Amino acid sequence: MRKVLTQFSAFIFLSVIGLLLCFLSACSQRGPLNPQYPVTVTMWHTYVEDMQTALDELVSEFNGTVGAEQGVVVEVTSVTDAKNINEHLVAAASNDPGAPELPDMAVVYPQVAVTLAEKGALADLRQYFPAEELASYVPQFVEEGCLGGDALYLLPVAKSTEVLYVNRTLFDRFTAATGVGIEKLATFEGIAEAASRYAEWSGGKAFFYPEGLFHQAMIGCEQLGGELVKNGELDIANPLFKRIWDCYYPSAVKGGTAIYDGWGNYLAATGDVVCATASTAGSAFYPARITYPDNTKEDAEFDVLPYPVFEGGDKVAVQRGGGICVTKSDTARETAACLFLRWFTETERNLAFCAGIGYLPVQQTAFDAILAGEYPEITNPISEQALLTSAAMQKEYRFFFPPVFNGLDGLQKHYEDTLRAAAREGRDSAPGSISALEDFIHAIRS
Amino acid sequence: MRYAPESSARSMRRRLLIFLLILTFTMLAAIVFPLAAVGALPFGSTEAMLTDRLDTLSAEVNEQYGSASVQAVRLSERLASSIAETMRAEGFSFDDASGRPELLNGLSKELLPVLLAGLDATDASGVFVTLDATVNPDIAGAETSKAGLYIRNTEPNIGGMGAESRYLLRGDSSLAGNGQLYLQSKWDLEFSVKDQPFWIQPLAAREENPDLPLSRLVYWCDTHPLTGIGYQATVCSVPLLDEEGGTLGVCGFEINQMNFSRRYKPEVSAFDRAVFLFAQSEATRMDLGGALFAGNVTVYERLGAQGTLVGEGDGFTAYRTPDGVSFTGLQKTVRLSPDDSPFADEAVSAALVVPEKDYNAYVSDLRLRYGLILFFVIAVGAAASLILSGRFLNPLTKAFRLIQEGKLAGVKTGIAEIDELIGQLYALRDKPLPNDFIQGFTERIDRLTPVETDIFHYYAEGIGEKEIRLGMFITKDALQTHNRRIYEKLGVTGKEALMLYIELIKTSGIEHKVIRRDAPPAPISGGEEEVINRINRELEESAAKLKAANNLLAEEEKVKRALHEEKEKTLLMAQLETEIYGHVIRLNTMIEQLENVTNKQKATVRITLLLCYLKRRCNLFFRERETAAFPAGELTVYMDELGEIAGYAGVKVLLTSEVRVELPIRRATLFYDFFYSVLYWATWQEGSHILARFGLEEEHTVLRLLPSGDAGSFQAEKGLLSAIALEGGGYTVKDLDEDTAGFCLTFPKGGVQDG
Repeated sequence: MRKVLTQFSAFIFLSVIGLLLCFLSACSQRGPLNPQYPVTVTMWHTYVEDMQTALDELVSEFNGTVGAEQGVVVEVTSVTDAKNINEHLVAAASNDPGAPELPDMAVVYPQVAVTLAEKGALADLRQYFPAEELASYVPQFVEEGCLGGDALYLLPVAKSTEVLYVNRTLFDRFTAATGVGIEKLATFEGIAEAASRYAEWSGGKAFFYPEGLFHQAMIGCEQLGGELVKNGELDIANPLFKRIWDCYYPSAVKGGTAIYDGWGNYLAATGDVVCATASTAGSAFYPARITYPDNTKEDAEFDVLPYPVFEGGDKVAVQRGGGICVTKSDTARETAACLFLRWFTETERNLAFCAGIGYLPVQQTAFDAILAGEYPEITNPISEQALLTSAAMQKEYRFFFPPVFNGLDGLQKHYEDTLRAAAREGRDSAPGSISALEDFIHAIRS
Repeated sequence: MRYAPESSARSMRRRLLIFLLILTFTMLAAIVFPLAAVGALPFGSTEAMLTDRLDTLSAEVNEQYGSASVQAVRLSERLASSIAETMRAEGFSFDDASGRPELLNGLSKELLPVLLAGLDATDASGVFVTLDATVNPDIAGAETSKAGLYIRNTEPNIGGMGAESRYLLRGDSSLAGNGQLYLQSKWDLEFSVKDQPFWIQPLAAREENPDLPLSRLVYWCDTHPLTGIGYQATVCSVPLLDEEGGTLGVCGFEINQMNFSRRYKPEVSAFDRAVFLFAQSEATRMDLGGALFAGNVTVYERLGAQGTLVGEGDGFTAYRTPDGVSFTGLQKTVRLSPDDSPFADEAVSAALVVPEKDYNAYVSDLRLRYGLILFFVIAVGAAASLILSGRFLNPLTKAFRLIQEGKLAGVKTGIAEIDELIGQLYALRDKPLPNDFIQGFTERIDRLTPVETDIFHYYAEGIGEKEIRLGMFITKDALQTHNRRIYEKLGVTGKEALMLYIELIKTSGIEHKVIRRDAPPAPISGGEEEVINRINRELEESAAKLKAANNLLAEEEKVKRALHEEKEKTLLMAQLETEIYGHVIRLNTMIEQLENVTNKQKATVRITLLLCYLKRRCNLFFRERETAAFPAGELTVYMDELGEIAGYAGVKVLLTSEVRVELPIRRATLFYDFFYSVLYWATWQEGSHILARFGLEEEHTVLRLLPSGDAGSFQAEKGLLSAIALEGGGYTVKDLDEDTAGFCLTFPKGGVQDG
């Protein structure tokens, strides 16, 4: 009996030890991430249409491969414009009543990231991306994500700049009729002149639409060696600003420059403008065919030219494109979000995602490949042109990072609304430009 | 006394262990079987899990699509009303709208809020109205170009997103950019309805069934109304009727792939690669060309590339694609149109499938996991049973062992009942036996004579009557006489009752009080011839033993010589030869001369006397090497034996003994030798009587023998006298008168107990 009991005890002991070892080995696999218990991380972004499709496909691929292996599920829970995302993020970070829950990742611009960082809502990505890993990114893009500090709050994903989209079909027709050459479009002064001629020639139609009035003024000042924003305020009394004003206001009053609050491609789609400054990120939205109000259609060919420069000014263009921030949560969720970002910005994937939609990649090797003209096939010819133009600008232009401070968005809106209002008023009453500028300055300051 | 258990008996611990194991398994079974009966266990419930999830998803699809159908009918009614109002306000009829862009653009502005309200009322991803009118009827293809609005909501699953997520796909572009809508990159001014089911089917159904209400004319299709839009969607469209029942166009909602995939996530925790499909079907064959799906895109791409998915049977089944890829899952028909609708036969199915490889791997893993858990539970239960049985029974087994060993004093087991039992047993141990039962019996034992007492003790030791008779050299009649006296004195009816009392005494724990442990061995007794034969056998055995002993001693002598003990062992051998071996030689001589002697009776008695002496002497010789002390009572018995045998030679011996202590065994041997030599001498005397007294005098143990007749003729052997002197004893012959002398052997007190 004693022998039987001893054997029985040994059997049970070994069984329990074996099972404990099994459980311990299972437990030992548990780090922040565990495929048995996937972490779902949410994402808000601003990518729409083709970009959204491309991102959705990548998210699905990630969830089905690396995410499944390591226990991460990425879920896009909001796709909307930057303005809407910004409002919701700030409200969520402020814990406003009725505000949505903060996502784990969001595509944001530096201005909003500053606000979120000040509220302590963002994780420092340097905790998850070692220095040697960050070294593989284009340094100035990483620097921008630091928001002027040491912590990295925005991981660059895709960058853009502003270019000039030209409906070559309409412009060539205009050139044939008036002799205004394409070289006029190299400067804002030339564009203003061409716009005035176009308005006269077409019976009042718009020639040019500057999609970002604030950017145009800010970059214009930079090109001319000044600053539009000083100490968080607009310095429009600066004599340099008058050159910017002169390139916009008279043409707008005459109708050559469109007074419009929207994307340039809207006007381009109906042939309401011939050219527009806009982000390379908008390249996919420019149509290959114009639809006129009578439903007649005309195939259109677009050119993408470098961003215009004020005469005598430096070649300066804005560096656009937000990054993706990771909100503070817990180690598992932050690790999961960073795992996706690391996968998402790997060179080959970064190149494929960016190139097709007119963005510049952020991985240095991918960036260099674009400059060298080595990129995947791009089906949209306008996007390809935009990419090539922005790559060419990388060699000739200095890129300006807009200042980052809380309240910049409000300043931008105030400027643009006031300027459009002044232009509309001028178009209606046609007052003298000098007094209009004074009125504008007064309106801005008030 | 410990009793060996029967071989079939099981220990308490084994019984308790078996009980606990049965209890463990019973409890396990009581949990497992009911859970298995209600399907709560994972074994075989994977199908149920998928079935439940498909039911849930199908119900949600049904709800969303049903709601969209209802909202489409309301939208149609509201749009028709708005169109009528606008036309009345503008002073036109709807038939005049074609070719009037301003009128149509104005109409679009009026219809836009209605559409947005309709979109907000559902969680569809798009809303549209397609009017049977065109901006420019004069251009090519104008007959299939229709004015209208198509608005897509990129965030249908999130309420309150407002204009930021609404895109204009068809309609007046001036509606975009004013804060209400964005212009989608694939925007166009009008719809192309050429070969478009969303336009053709509901209008045709209306024409064929003019009496059917709008709710029966809702048409669902998986062909997107906008050619080249670039994403998959299912669309419902319903005729737009004017007040007279004339058709103005169609309107409806879109549920696109993104909307579907975000809303109907398979979320089958066990299967990361599950895919939920919604597609037109025929029996178990699903057409994936226009299917919407949710779940793992990689798996769906493999599925979608096949075009069709064919189930091998109804319910939970295996699916095969044309290229042989296997999936496991099930499908369910979803009714999108009522029975009396012209589109009631349009079959649409929802299916939930997982790669067969994943399914098999999960089921195997699940079985292994739960098998391990079950094994673990059993192992823990068995271990607990083992430990608990041990811990529970240890105090009991310890208590029983102590009880068996009689160690009851101060024992505490920690179990109240056991401690109480031990206490009671301990109290009983020192309590007198009941007066009317055992106590009287034990008191009566003192009435027995020494011989009767010896016989009683032999019975107590379990010695049989035959052995007692042979050992005590008494006849059967003599023993029966002794027995009868014993029964009378002890007040029992017979042997059986006597043995019962003895057993009671033993079990009462007072055995030590009434039964001697030092009872002498049964004396030799029996009939003459039988006795002689027996003595001869024993003699031979003794001779053999002696011979063997000699051999042993010889061997031992060698060893001991090697161990420098040669001298002592040589002396021992010399003593043996002197004390025993000489007598054996003499015995053989006496036996050989027996035929020739005249008084054979006396010769036989002398031989018997010598045999008895040799037997006891051999015992003493061997006892001398085993123990240092010898009970005086036993020595008295030995001497009684000799006296009784000598009686057959006419020597009457009257022996009284006062010594009750133990003697040093060497001195006991010398007393016995001396007594035998005197009796042997007496057998040669005629009519001899010997008075013998074995007692204690002052500081000496003394054996006094007073023989009748010519005592002067007795001479003690020199060897005996030397041995007595060597042991410190004294031998004296005291002349009492001319013919009478007394022999006295004394040893000073000392030795084992009397010193």
